[in-house]
Amino acid sequence: MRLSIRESKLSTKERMWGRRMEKKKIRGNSNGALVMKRLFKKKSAVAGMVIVALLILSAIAAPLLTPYSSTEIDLLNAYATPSLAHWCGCDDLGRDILTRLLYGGRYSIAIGVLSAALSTVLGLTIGAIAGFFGGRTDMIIMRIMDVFQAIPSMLLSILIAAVLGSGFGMTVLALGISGMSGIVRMSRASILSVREMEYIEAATAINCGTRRTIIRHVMPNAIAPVLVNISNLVSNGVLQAAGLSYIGLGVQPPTPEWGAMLTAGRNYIRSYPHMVLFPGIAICIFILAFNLFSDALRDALDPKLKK
Amino acid sequence: MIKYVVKRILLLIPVVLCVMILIFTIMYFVPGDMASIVLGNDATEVAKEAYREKMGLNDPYFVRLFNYVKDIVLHFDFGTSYVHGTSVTADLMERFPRTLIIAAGTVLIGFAIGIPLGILAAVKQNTIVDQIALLISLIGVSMPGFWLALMLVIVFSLNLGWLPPSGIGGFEYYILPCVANAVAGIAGNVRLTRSCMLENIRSDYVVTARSKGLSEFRVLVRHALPNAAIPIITSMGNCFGVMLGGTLIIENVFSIPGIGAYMVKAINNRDYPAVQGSVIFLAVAFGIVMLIVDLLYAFVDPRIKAQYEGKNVG
Repeated sequence: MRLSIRESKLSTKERMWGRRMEKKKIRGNSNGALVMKRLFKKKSAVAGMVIVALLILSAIAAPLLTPYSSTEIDLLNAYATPSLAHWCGCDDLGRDILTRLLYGGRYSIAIGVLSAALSTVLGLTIGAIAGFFGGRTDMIIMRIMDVFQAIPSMLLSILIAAVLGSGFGMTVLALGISGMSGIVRMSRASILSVREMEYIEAATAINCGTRRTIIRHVMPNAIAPVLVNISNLVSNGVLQAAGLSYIGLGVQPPTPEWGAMLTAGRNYIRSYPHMVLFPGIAICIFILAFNLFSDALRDALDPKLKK
Repeated sequence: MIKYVVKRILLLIPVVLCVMILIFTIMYFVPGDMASIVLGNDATEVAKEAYREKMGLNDPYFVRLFNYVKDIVLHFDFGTSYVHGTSVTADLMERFPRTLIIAAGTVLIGFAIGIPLGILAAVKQNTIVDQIALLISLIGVSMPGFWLALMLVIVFSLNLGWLPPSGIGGFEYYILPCVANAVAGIAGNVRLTRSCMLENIRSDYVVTARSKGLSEFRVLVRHALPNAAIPIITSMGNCFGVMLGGTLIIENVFSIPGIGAYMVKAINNRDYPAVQGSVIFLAVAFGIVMLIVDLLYAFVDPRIKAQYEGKNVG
């Protein structure tokens, strides 16, 4: 390997260090790093991320945080109102509500994240196919997506959930499919605009292979505008899953999913409103924190703010 | 302009047809034997077979699809409910006005409160008013509508006794459902209106309007708002879709016999013609609303008008 004149005067150790610094400098100026920098500068974004992280951690570490079981029935404590022993009270079977909320985070958050991931994988793949191939393929795909978008997303989720049946996996599938068409539309539009960029032309000009062009140059630039949509899908997924539970289609009652807990408590709202109150607050806190984060992400990704 | 309206209406037809085909196809793959559901598992195989033959369940997919779509398009007939034996069309028509009242009331409240609040937040940008409006709207979009509905029932019906907790009747029965359903819409509209107004408030024509000596109110309402209104109207259709989805669940919270409650009941009873009919009915209603929004958009945005009128001249 040929070394530059400036470098050859240095010792090996110094040279290694210099290269590492140079690499760091390059990485520090990349688009992703800029976005992260802007994201961490915003207090609301950091607060949102911290709350979401805490909720996820507490859901994972639920057995360590609470002395109660999420499933064990304790009829002596049935309908217990909030007290020092049971911070959020107990439900109709005497199960500690806070414990069930902690465990429930595993299901609710997982539904939101997994359904968004499913929509993203399906949407990006189909959107990429439509965007790359163009022509007739593009037209057919986009007409099919028009039909999907002609149905309100909650209605489509209800329809698919009704056909597939209830349960955790089916809910994820239903929400994943109904969220797909938006991602297809966005990723296609973004790929089409990226395809026309000069740097893609440059990549082609220096004889960069098609696969490498797509993976290294098109995708990273095309994904950014879709990111905000994906983060919206997560919060939307949690809300819609709760709605599906309410009409008896989502996750079924013994599972401590937040929406299912809320639904189970609705028959007792007259005398024991705490059974409905706390699961709803849990949903609110998660969505609120997630929205804070995704709002900040949208601002950070906004190219108008670039210096 | 007429050309645009006609073109837009003609475009609706294939979409509606495809929606019917899509929904029929999804429902076609539902597992379970209809004859067993209707006649019960104890029915003899002969009786079941006779029923399948009578209802055309033995026909191939394309024949059934064709008959179904033909009945809807030509006779406006969504078939017969398996469980009640009544006409799905009649059931839907009876329930539709209630769903429409809630959806329309929700949209009305959402825009009547959301837009002024958004303008206020934009005018007072970065003040305490702005911060509070943003915080409230952030909380508003983070709440499940049906949970808020339950909370409102606890406060206003069970504790204060001001409004009825469920059922239908006079005007007061629709207040809680509409308000609960509208909160997410209000919040969304505040955020959207604020950002659209902020974009316009700083533009040159607003400075010009001010320097002409117009009052601040006139500047906002006559100059900034019409330009900010275009993206707001575009979002109206989506907003209606979200609220229609919310209505389906809210109806169940307040036991309002609208299409949402009908559909949920039908799903639980495995009454598939009723489910299919409700979904198609709602999807078509949604399509018509989107059409109206598009026409409104063309009416507000002079660029679209000019495009079509220019063609007529040329």
